[in-house]
Amino acid sequence: MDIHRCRFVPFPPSTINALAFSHSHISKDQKAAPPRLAVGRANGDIELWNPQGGAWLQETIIRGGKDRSIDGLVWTQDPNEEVDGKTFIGKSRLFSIGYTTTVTEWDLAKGRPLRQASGNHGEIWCIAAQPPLSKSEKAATPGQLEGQRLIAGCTDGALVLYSTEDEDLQLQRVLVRPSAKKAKVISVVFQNRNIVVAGCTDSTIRIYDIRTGAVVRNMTLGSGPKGGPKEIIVWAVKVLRDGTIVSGDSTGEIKIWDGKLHTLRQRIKSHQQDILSLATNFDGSAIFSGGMDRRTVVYKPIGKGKSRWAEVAHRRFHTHDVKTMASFEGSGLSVIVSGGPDASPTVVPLGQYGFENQRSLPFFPQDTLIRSAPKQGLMMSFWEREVHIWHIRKDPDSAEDEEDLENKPPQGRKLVAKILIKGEPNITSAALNSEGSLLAVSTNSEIKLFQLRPKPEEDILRVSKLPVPSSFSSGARLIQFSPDGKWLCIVRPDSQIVLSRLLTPGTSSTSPPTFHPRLTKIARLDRKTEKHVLLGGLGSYNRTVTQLAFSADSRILAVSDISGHIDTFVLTGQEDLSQQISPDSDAASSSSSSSSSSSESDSEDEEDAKTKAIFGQTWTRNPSAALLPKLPSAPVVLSFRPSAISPKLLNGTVPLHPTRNTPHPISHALPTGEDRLLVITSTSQIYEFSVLKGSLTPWSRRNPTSVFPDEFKRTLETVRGCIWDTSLGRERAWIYSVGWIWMFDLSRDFPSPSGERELVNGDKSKKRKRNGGGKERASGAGGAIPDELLGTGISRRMQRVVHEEVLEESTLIQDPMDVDEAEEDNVPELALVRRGSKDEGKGAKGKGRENGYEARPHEWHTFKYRPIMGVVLVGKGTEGLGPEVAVVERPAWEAGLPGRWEGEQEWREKEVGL
Amino acid sequence: MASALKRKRGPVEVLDTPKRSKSVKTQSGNPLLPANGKVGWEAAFNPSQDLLISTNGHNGNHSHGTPESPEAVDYEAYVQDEKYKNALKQREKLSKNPVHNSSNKSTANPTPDKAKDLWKLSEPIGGRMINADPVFSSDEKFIIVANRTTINIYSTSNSLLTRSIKPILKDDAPRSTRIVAYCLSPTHSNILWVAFSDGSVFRIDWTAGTGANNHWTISSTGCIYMTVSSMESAGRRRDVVFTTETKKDGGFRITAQEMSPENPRESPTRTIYSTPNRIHFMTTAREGSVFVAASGNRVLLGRLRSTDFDSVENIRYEFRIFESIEAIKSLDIRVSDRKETEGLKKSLQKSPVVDVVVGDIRGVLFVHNDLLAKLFSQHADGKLPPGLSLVPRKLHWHRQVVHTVKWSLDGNYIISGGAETVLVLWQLDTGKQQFLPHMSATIQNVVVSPSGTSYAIQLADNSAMILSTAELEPTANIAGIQASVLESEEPLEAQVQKIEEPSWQPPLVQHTPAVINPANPSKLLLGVGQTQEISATKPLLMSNPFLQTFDLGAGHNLSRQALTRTNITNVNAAPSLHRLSEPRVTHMKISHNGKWLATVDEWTPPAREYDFLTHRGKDLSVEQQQRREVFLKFWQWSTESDTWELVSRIDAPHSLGPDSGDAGRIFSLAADPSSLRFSTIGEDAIVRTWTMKTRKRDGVVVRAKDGSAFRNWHCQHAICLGKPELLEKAGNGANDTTSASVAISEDGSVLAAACDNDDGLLHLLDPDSGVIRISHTDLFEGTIVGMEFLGQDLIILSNKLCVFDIVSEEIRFAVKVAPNTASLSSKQKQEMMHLAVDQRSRTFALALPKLGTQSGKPSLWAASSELTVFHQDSREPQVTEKFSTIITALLPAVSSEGYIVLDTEAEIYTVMKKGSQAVTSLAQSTSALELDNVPEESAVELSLEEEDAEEAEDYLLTPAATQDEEDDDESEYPVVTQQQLSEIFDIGPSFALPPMEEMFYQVAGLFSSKPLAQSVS
Repeated sequence: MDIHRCRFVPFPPSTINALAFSHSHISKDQKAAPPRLAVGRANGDIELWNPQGGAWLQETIIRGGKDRSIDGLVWTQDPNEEVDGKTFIGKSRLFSIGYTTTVTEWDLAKGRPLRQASGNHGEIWCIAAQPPLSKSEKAATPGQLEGQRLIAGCTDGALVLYSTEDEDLQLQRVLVRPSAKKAKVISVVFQNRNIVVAGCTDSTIRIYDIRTGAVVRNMTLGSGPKGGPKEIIVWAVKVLRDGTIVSGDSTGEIKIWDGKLHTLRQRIKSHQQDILSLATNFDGSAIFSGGMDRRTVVYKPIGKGKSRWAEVAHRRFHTHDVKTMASFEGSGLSVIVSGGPDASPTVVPLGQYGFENQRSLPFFPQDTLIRSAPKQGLMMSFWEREVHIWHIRKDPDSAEDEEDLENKPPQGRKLVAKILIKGEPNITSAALNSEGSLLAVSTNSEIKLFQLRPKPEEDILRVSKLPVPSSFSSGARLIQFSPDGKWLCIVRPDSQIVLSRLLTPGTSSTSPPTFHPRLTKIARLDRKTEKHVLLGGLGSYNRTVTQLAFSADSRILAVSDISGHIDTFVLTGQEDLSQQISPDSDAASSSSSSSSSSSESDSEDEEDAKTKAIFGQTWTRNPSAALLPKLPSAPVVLSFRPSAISPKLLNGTVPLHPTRNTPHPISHALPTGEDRLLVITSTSQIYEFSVLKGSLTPWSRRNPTSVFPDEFKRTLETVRGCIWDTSLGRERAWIYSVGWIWMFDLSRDFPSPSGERELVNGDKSKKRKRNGGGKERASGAGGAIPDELLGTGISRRMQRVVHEEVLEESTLIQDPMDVDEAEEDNVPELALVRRGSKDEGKGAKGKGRENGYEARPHEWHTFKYRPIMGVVLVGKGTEGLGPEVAVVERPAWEAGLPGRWEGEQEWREKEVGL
Repeated sequence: MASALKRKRGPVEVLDTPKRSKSVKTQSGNPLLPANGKVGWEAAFNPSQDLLISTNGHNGNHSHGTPESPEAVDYEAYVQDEKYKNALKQREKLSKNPVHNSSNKSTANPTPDKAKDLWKLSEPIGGRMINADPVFSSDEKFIIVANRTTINIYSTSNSLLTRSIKPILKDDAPRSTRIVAYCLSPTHSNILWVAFSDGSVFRIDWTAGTGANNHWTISSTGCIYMTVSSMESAGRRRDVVFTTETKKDGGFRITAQEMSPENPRESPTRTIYSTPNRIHFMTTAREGSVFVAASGNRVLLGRLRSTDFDSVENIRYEFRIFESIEAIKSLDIRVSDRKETEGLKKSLQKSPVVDVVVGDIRGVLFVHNDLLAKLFSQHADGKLPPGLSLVPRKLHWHRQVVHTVKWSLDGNYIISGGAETVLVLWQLDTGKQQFLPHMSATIQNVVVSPSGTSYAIQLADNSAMILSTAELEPTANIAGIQASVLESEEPLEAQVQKIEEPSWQPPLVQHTPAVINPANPSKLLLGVGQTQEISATKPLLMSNPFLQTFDLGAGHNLSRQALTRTNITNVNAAPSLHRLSEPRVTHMKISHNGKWLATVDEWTPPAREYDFLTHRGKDLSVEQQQRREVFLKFWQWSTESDTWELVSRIDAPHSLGPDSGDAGRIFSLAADPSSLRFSTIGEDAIVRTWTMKTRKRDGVVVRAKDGSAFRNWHCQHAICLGKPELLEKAGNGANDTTSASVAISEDGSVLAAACDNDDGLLHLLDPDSGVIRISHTDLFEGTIVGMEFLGQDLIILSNKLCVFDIVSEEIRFAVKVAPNTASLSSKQKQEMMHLAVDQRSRTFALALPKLGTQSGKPSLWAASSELTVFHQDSREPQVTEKFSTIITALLPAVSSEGYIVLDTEAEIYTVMKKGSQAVTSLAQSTSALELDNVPEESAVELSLEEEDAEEAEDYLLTPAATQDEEDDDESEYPVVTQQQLSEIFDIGPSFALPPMEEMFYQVAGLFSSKPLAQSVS
């Protein structure tokens, strides 16, 4: 491949202001919605992450807008209900604050605010949710309200209670009246259902009873240290399970307060600077603190006496302040996630702290935000409300003749267009057509189209806005042009898929392209989710469409959602441009219906669509769509193979003649082109489907993910995209994630796995369990730290010696792998059978060697480029080398973080007082 | 000039009568050899052992019969000569006495008639504290610190040496035998167990000094570490000595022994643990029921299975072993009673709470709480109970190896120290740290006193101090000779990879600049640094910016002051962990009246600081030379402040070459024995003489407060040795000067100077006029190491030793240095070969090194040196002493006939003529004398009440007690520091003290009037 290594994309990292897990703890027998992590950023985005047993997939982003920020996030869980023996899992609801007086509830499925509430108080600085009613409490007082109320602390000293009952959000009461004198409430937490602990800026922690609004106790921290400000700011408060209050403040000390007597029990100086965030584990046996000195400090109780705490270790996981933290335990995970201005959520092992590595998640979205128009060598990137387009050229160094050199500007790239979208909301998606003449940009509320025309003299593009049909006004979650540029596929915020036909594909630069007035709405298969699932937990959020792919001939469309379902649609019929644009366009109606109809639209719509063919062509559901199975995890890459053969000309086929009954005859001919779809899931399972057949391709049958190279299976990063190399008859897929680029040759089978695997089980099964055929996941963060690098001061194993005789070696530190071991998929036997007998396989292999097969690798990878924001095709590339691609990197050190309060090495002088 | 010398020669001849020199000839064949196993001249019989031997065929038939021959005779021929004669004598002797002369057993040749020889080598004084925890006596009145082979007991109240005990080792113990560990018996507080590296263990009553001559041998393979615990079983309480040693078949083991003085023959032994890894530390607690040891990166925690054993042979321990990543350097445990037994197995409910702190070589501290219960609470199937967290607390402040870590008595603090020279106190409950920075050197050991009221800290500069716990103020300070020492074994932290510091290649030991104050011959002035031990294979360039004044008579440190800039109160390490280098004092000379001190210091920035210039194609060595700083400083003794005060500083006294402005090195500094004049010679081959002149301003003399005129030093003459026109032709030939020397004759009338690039010319100059009077050739070969006047003779040490009579202008004799010495590099020669003259005895001495090799490379391991004393008139050595260490300084003992030798064990020997009393002899006998006082020593407090001046003289009044007494009315009484008192009393044993009356007035003077303002070091 010809690689342009690009580091010029100025994608700005956005500070993480808030982190919240939908559950902090899920016990084994507890029925609960699958956990999600919400990440709130300074640019107003809320990202929803699925921990997924350590795979950490960023599922969706709820885009913010100009001057919006998310400063606090909180989840509530509606109580579960038992109906007819079935458990209706309570709804998970997400609320946010943003330094306004408003609390917002979000509709996760639609990616929009659901409702808002505000009151006559100052800006809300912090928010906390009431702990759910426990069973014992419920039994004690049956009549009690079950919901979780929200408490908000304001900058004017007010504490406000919001009720979330009856699927609503309302200001319930103002607990503490706002006044100018009162110190800001900077942190707030519930001690139990009725007691609220609020940390203020005036060196005080105040404790209130929400039933009466009365002050239970004021706990004062005294005056600040010498030479510093007098008032101590209590940046964070947390309550342990036994009611003990923990506070972190601007002196860099955590203080542990008795929960009943409200007296200071212990203070631990562990930070050089302010502590900004605290997190605890569920059973109250560990405290984590993060501060302005970038440290993350772990505390554990020592001694069995009065439960004294001590700092166990500290490390600098972040390159900037540790602003916020959230913990999660359950379903095999035990992690703390922390975030700050360095924008990367960092997953730190909780239970296995010190024995497992931390893991830094990328700070840019899962969707690559990089698009290209390979024919023009254009590369586009977008973020917030900006779109930048560059023209990528080959480096002049490689230019063969000198004349070329003179003519060309010295740079290999040039910014040719820069567009700032009007209006508040941030861009959700953008698309370029392959000619590079049309740009579609979508936000949550609208879709904009721009025509790009090269200016004759200068090397820049002229951007002109095009009018869009009113039917586009509902905005889009995803937007994409088909490869032939004739169709624009729009996935609306509510995951409804519509397709619009471009009338004049932007081939001629003069006439602006217009759209067929009629939108084609296509409906996904109704996957028959049960109602109680739909209404409880995360609701229909699972059905959110995240991936969209057109086949190379633009006649197959595949979409996938978070739950792992793939829907495919085909364009039937033959193009007949002679047909008139029917005036009975129901663009308006379709748009109106889209808002009302849910994603599992009924069959009538389908019928509707069938009759309303556009130019003789109709998008219909692939007849074998239902044959595609639900994947175990959400697909992150859908990619059709580019057809190796140039598309057949349609001239040879005879168009259908219109008849009386069918004035617009529709051919139901299915497309015949390349239909192989490569699907990669968030757990890096790789499948290839033959979409029209509705089955796995033979290659994929022979090569299930378990036979992929071990090195690949060990990687943790989620795959972000795929590039095909089909030049010279190759069948290579280049897939990439944040940290690596991997090439797989799909024309051949992987070498059969090592002989050990072929042995008949016995010990092996046990062994596999530990070492894992798949990814080595421990408790959700990075992998286990090898013994020889363990910095904990104690080894995992211990030797017992009784008087010179070594008794045994035993495990000192419990291995988390023993606890939750998911079943490994052990398909290879079947796959091996499919490959034919072993002898044959070996023979083929030997033969291959003779043929110089060995020279062509099965797979190849590099960790050279990181962090990779995206890889796109920018040209055809030189002959024999494969396609020309741009690898866009965005190193964190170039991203330019905001200034820090503390310098690099100041601590040294401070500590010793030199 | 010549006449003057002749005049001088008169008395010389009177002194050294031919008769006497004859007696030398006949008797020096078998000089006295000390009883401590020093290898003497007899060693020469074994050729392979001899330092200066070479395998060429010189022997008795060599023409040794022409001693006046001006031709150089091979040095080893000399030796052979002597050998030949001695051999003859020996043979005669052998026929009479059945004496075998195997090389090392010098004691095997005690020929009593010969022992009464002219010269003797004294027992060493000084020495370096071994790197082991000092021991407090149980009443905290004394602190016990060990040197290589001696146990020194110091009083904590006045930091004076109370007693010194030297255990008597086996006869065949190798010279390198040293103390590895010592600890107080938990059963009897007056018993100290001492383990030696050869495996002998002593049980010494330190209050009486007994037990130094009996020992047990625990192992033939030696001993690595020892600890003692008092264990009771079968109705008997006994000291169980745990030692760790090498097994014969490789591997290591821990053994428990019971050694009772009642039946010294029988000592029941039991191996309790063996491992392939070296165990370098262990400790016990709770009467041996808890046992902790460190071995590499492993921690061993053991508990006694049953206290019911009748003999040590039946002791059984159960161990749990876990690992850390890095090697463990320091470890301490604290054992306390268990208060809560909730959730513990029954068997563990009675076990104590064992808290362990471990410091590793990368500077991390790990604190394990209640480790014993956690490790032993394992179920039978090896699984731990759920919810039990074994992960220790990690405290990481030290950037380099944690040399020592200790628990405070209450367990609330951890005290640690290391190369940062900062004592760190960790308050465990709050996580706060307290620092005591700016210690003078790396902290090697910290000990908390039994009552917890003070810390004893041992520093790498051979000093120890006691700090009060509350105020962290020093209450006692013990310092030995702070000259550099050679490491005895490779330190544990050497396995941490570090950025390379500049080192000497080939390896050498720097000489220690040293002078004896002629005004007070017991004062030895040494140029010392923050002593790091010298690595044997890669000795670093050491800086020595301090002047230490050491009292040879009393054997203790008097004062320490800085001669150059230092990093004591600065950051001492760069961010890259490089040690910031300090200047090095290369030469030091004192004026004849002891009032003026001249020092030369030089500093070169390390190469890493300008190697970025290489990309410009610059020559690094040139850059280095341009950045060198050389200062010549003149100091005046101030009786008022008891320090040397800087009077003049001359920047770059010599340049790199005739045309260069950059500072050049100074090769030699000489003091005029008769007047206030110094002379230097440097890289530019120019001899400069320096004299004083009175400072004047506008023609008026500038005077100090007391009316004395201020004086400045300036260059009187600058005499270029080479002919300038020749130099110009030769280009930068002057830069090739690598060695040079100057010397001034006794009467100050002649100045001899030579530099090695000058065609082998030696010039004699008139220092008053600065004119070259005469030049001679062929007086030296190769590198000039030193040059001294002895009467009319000029002794020149280069590749040959040449004695040149400048009056008759003839070479009295010349001897070639042995080839393996001659093959040393020029730098090695200059640093490791020494020449000294003693005017009183008309002798001169030279010390030559012999390097060892290690795996084919030259190394300082097993290096030795040899000291030879020649009489002016005789080409046969009067005495030859062999040292198994390297001599770093050689000085004439000013007050008596003989020499003072400083070696790489920081020990001082004196080589004396029989009959003259060595300066250091007093220091040695002190302990022996005080021995009798010990029972009364404990009564010091009582006797103090009487406040009797006479008593006080005998018992060394403790000033601390004095202050306590007078606490109430402090304002009325003057404060008398212990230092002042010790200055009066601690000048020698009682028989050497001044008259009683005088001392009384001195003491009275202190208490009655305002004491002099004195600096407390």
